[in-house]
Amino acid sequence: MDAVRRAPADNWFPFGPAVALMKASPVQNVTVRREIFAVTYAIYRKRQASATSLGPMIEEFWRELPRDQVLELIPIILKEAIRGDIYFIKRPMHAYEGLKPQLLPILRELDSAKAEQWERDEKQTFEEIRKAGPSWADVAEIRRRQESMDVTPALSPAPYKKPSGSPKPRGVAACSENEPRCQQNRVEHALESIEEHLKKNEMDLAKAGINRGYRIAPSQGKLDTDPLDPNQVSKTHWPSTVNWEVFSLMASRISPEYVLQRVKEIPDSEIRLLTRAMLARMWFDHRPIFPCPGLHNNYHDEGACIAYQKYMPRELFSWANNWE
Amino acid sequence: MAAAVPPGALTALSPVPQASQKNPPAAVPLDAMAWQMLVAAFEESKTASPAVHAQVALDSAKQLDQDNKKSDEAVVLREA
Repeated sequence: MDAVRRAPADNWFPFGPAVALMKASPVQNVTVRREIFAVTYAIYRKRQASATSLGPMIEEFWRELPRDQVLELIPIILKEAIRGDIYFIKRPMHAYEGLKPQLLPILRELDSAKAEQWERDEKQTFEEIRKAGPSWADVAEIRRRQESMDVTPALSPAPYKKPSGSPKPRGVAACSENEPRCQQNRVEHALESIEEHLKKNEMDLAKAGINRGYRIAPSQGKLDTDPLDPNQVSKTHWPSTVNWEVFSLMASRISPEYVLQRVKEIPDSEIRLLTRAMLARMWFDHRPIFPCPGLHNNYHDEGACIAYQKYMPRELFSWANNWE
Repeated sequence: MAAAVPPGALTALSPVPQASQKNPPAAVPLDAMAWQMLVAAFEESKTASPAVHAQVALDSAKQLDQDNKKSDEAVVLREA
């Protein structure tokens, strides 16, 4: 609860955990849930968050929340959903389709006239949003709001400095500093060649490709474990861990027995363990997710994202954001 | 279908679930083998670093959840 109260001052708010906290609080503890909602609503009013962030709280706890605020928010959330569906970024999420059956009955219960009006004007609302364009506010409007709120942009982290004596190249993995895509290319080329050989049923060549991949992973591992400049991200997300997993996954396409033999070659017992668990889950039809190093590492640049989706069969992994 | 469970394996993880299977059948059914691997990995992870143990426990818990073994899932998560 302290974290929730402090969060707005940090210009950041844990919406997901706040809802989880509301759900976890005892049924009789209405005050806590109201307080969490009040903090979240205040953030929304300051225009630091969209109304959509309050949707899950309303869906779950609307009976306990201030009626006027719930009535105010539901149409806004529905409009934001429509806008997101019309002006989607990657592909339509059908958010309105999902939200309408949740929120409209609440609106109807609180104010049936307003709900009826929403239904009546639905087509017109779609049209108005379409005409308004992809953004509610233009850049000047956003700047004006920021100025009125006296928002100071967050400071950029101090530039990373390589410790003296560390062999780790900057922004690279296993390559010289002026070849920032080198490691990425190596992994991608190895994956591409393995996939090509597997498609042609050239098993010996595919196995040679696995050998190549299994040589790339330890070279990355040396950088992750560099004693002078160790990777400070959890080992489960190290680029070397991901490389071992990816090439093991490709080896599993040759046969389960083959990959289990190969996994024994992974020198790090913990990465071996993680790879075995990953394979087991994959055989239960749970596809692993391979994170992009740059997305989980604010320590220093661990190299560009590897475009696994281009070089591996789609059924072998889940894309991180799960936009299927 | 029954799978050999390594000695000392967590009881919660012992029963072999009825899993769906995309891959072609192997000599040992793949789901049975996968279950044994998960059980063994969970046991081994107890001596690994906390992050690795947590990841393997999470994988095991997700699988138990998928098999609708809620109480076993809770045991694994508590232990992690």
